[in-house]
Amino acid sequence: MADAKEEKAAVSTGEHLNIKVKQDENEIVFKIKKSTPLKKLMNAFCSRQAVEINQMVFLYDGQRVLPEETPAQLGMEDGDLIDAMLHQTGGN
Amino acid sequence: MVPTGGSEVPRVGSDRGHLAIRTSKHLSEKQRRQLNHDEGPRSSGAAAHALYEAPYLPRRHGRSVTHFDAARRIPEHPSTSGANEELRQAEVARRLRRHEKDATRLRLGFAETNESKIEALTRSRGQSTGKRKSPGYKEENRFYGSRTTRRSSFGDSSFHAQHHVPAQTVQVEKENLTKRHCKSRAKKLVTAAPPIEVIISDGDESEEGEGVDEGFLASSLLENGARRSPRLNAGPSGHLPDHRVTGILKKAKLKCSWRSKYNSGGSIAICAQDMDSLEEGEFLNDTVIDYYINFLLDKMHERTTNGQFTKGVSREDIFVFGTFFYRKLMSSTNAWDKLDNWTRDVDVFSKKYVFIPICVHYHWSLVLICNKPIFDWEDNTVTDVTTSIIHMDSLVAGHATGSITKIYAIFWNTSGTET
Repeated sequence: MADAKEEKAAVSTGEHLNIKVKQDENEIVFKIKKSTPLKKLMNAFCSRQAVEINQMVFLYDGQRVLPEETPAQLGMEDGDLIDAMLHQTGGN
Repeated sequence: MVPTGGSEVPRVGSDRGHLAIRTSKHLSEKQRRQLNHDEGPRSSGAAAHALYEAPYLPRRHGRSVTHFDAARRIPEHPSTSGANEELRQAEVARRLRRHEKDATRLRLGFAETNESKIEALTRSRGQSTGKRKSPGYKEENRFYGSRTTRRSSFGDSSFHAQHHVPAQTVQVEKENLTKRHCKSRAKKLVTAAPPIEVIISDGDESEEGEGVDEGFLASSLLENGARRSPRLNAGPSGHLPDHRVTGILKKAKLKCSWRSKYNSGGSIAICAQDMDSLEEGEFLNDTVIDYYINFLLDKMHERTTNGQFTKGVSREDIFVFGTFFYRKLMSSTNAWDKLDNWTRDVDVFSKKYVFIPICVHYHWSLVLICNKPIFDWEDNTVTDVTTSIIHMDSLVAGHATGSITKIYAIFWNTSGTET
């Protein structure tokens, strides 16, 4: 109950962030609440790009982002950029 | 064109193959002569012996004897071609007894046949039991005349082989049996796996339940019907071959997140898919490399703080970029402005050593940027403090060292020396 109230308060005070997700030349802007896990953003991006989520790596300022983490935890600001990269593999 | 004589040879060969499978049961006089002829005059006796020496193998359970004629099919041993009629009669009597025995064996249960199989196998190795040492058996030995005891026992076994299941067929059946046995074993192992899977996936699902919070992601893109359950996306991808351990991990949706204790870096999520890259013959994954670098740095930090590691380079002198740094740098022309954020916590230029892992064309290499005094070996003095860029590549024709170092030289705003 307390959570629901907090969320409503957050919506009313406009705690939404515009976060850009960029893969090579494709840039998509997502609007996400600070306390929402980034998993939702990742899933949306992957389904949009027709890629599986485990084939992608999401980097915020060069650091890997876990699906469970929220923008608030990472200290994200409005207009921040998340880099979406395909996994790199190599031999030898 | 193939001459008629030449075409005869494969027919004989095929006949022999046929015979080998069906044993000497269907061996007519003509065929036997052909066989002997094929073996050559010198080894004609040996060829006949090879036939006689077929190991005694038990009849498969359930197979019935369709026709039986004891007097027929008594082979003529080359050395005893002139055997007298008495011995022949004795042999006929013995074979009749054996046939009756077989018939009773067939009527009995499976366990009985198994026992008889074992008995027969021991007999085939020449370890004849006391039971079998009947007067008829002794006569048999005389039947083969000058043969040694071992040979005669083999010759004896050949009689059974004649009206029993052919040797090859039984062997094939044995193989099938072992295969079937293996299959049932594998099945057992597979059926043993599910309990683990169920337990872990239950936990995962409950986690997912927490995460799914509908209605707060107000992206305009999602309105195009692209909304999808995360559970669907989390399904097994199968783009890599599932090895044994990894397959189980993937089914269980196991995931491990690791965070460096001392670095400011984010967590690294290692999933089952990344374990695949550790298998032999697979390409190494960036996750594994990132993890291992950070793991080593943590170890180094611990040793430095504990005072075990006083000599050499301290942890503060080192900075290691992530595996995606190079790709990001290459992806755009004015990359440095964008990459400013990547190193905002650290002053990269103050570090003595900066490592940059590179992955291009499915190959890993490492660039090391040294801000270090250069030691001149000729004068034995420290000449200068310069920045050098060292490119380490395990392949001779790996990455283009020249272009890579040039890029970093521009990036570093200093002149690079190539190695």
